[in-house]
Amino acid sequence: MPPASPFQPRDLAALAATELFRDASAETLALVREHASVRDLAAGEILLSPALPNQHIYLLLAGALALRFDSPQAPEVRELLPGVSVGEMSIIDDAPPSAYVIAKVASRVFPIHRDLLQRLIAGSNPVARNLLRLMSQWLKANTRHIAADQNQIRRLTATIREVSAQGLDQRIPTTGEERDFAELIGVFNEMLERLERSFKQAARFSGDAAHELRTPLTILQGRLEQALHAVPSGSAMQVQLAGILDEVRRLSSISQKLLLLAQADGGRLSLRRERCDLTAALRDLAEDARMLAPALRVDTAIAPGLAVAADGGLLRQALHNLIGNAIKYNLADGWLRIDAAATDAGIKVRVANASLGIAAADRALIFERFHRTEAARSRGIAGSGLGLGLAREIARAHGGELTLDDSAGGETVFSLTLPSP
Amino acid sequence: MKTLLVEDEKRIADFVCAGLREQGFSVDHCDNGNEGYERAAAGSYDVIVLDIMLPGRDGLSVLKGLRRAGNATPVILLTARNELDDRIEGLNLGADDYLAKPFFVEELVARIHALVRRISGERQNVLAVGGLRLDRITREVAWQGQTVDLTGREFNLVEYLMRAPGRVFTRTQILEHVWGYDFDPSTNIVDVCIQRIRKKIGVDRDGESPIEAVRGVGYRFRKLKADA
Repeated sequence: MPPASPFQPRDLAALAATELFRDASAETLALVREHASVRDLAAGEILLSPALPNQHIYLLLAGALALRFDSPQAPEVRELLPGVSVGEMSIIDDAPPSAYVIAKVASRVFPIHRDLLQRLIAGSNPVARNLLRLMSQWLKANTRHIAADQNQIRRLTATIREVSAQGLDQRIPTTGEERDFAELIGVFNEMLERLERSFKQAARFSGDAAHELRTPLTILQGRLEQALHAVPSGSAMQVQLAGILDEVRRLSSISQKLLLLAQADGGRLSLRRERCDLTAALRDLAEDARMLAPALRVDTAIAPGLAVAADGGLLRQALHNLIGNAIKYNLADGWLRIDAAATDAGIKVRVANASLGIAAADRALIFERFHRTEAARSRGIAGSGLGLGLAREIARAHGGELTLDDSAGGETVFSLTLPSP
Repeated sequence: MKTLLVEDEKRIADFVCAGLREQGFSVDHCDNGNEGYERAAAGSYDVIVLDIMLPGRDGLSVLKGLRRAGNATPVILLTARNELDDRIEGLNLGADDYLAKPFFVEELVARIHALVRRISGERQNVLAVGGLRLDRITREVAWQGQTVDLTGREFNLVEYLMRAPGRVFTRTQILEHVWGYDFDPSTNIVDVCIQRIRKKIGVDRDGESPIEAVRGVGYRFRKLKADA
């Protein structure tokens, strides 16, 4: 934090502005408007904002009138820069005719048109001149801190980025170079703490719920199965029971997916890796696709002998889900294509299908849980909205990735990448 | 076949015992790990069905104790699906198979048969009902002496139905056994697969396929008229 300064910049700016414009002619004011864009600011505000477009500096002159000075473009301005130190605001008398008055703020340079400022502070007003000098000194004193703080903020940003990439259980150290920001870091860490807690609660809740549902679901399914075999074959009762059994399976399947997702969120989606014959699995799935959708043209280009070290059950589940979607969201008499090959980046499986395309709004959300596209709802396509999210988690748990590729209109392409064994 | 079921949830144990007995198994049941271990160690069972979460010694501890004592009775673990750590540990400790809850008793029966067959040196490799003959090792199928070429899924489906002629299997039971992963239960893949099998096999002298549809329920392998 900068030390307390006897000079309050907003007071100085207001004073300087008042003095500058006390004797200003109509011609000068016109010049101000010509050379500076006007923006509303609170009275007395100086906005030093390197984040603003084109690195503008706003200097309030009077009331709600502010001048915006643009960053240097002219080469002669750049040549002058080495002679000006950070925070300095000065008139360079020997500058070329087109040159500027330059202020350096926090290592960024803001030029002010020389003619303009010279007219504003033409020797007739020593008060304004002195005020500008004071402002310049204040800037010099304070921008050093700003520059230093900016470096710290950059480091802090890098740390925070690291933290958010590694997970909510990370904390920012309150010692070391960032100690000046101890309070900010403390607040941020507390926020992480709360986030982590509620996230864990949410994950645990769906995990626990799925876990608790398991016993009643097992009993329900078992009793239904028992009843199904006890009633006469083909009876109306048996048809009813078979229908209920289907729904119980559906319920189990959703509960199971929630449990897996909860495990993935908690980083506990543990895998039982074994050598899996990916080629055989994909050929089986292609055979399924031909059975499920005889109207579709199913093409494959599956390299022979592809093997991965993976949890076979989960991997097949993910692939089944991708291919299931490719069938569900296809066009009547459309096509489906499964490609798989070993590449330098690992083993790549590509599932493409004819489609109406995916709306931009859906593309971003397609892996979100329970997200179902408007198109899916309106076409009455069944699904829980959990499959793609789970497929991606399965891919990631294997050290791979699942992405929706950019593709030409009329097709949808998902790419699954898995590390080579 | 003599089976020991160790499962603490009474309502689960009830239907498992009933289901296994209905299919000709003799079943002993106990509801805690300590008694489970005693019985397993003392009795001569063909197979042990073991829940993992048990009062007293848990399932994995029972399994470990049995194997350490040199007891090699085949064990099927009942576990929550994808309680993977348990599964991995169970398999490492010498479980022969595992079945995820919720499960079909029908699937448990199929697993027990497969397991016992494997352990006992694959004695019953050939399944023959009516005019259909199926070799589990060579995976060859013949209908009335003629070779039939079935895909992997088709073979597994026929084998599943053939194990219990006359018994009806629902689409979801068949899905679970043949495909294994989560299919939307409204899928028609079972029906399509059955149609393909029927087409490949053809009909008998009476013009009937060995695989019958039970409308609204599922499918069954035709029982020989003499057995009816």
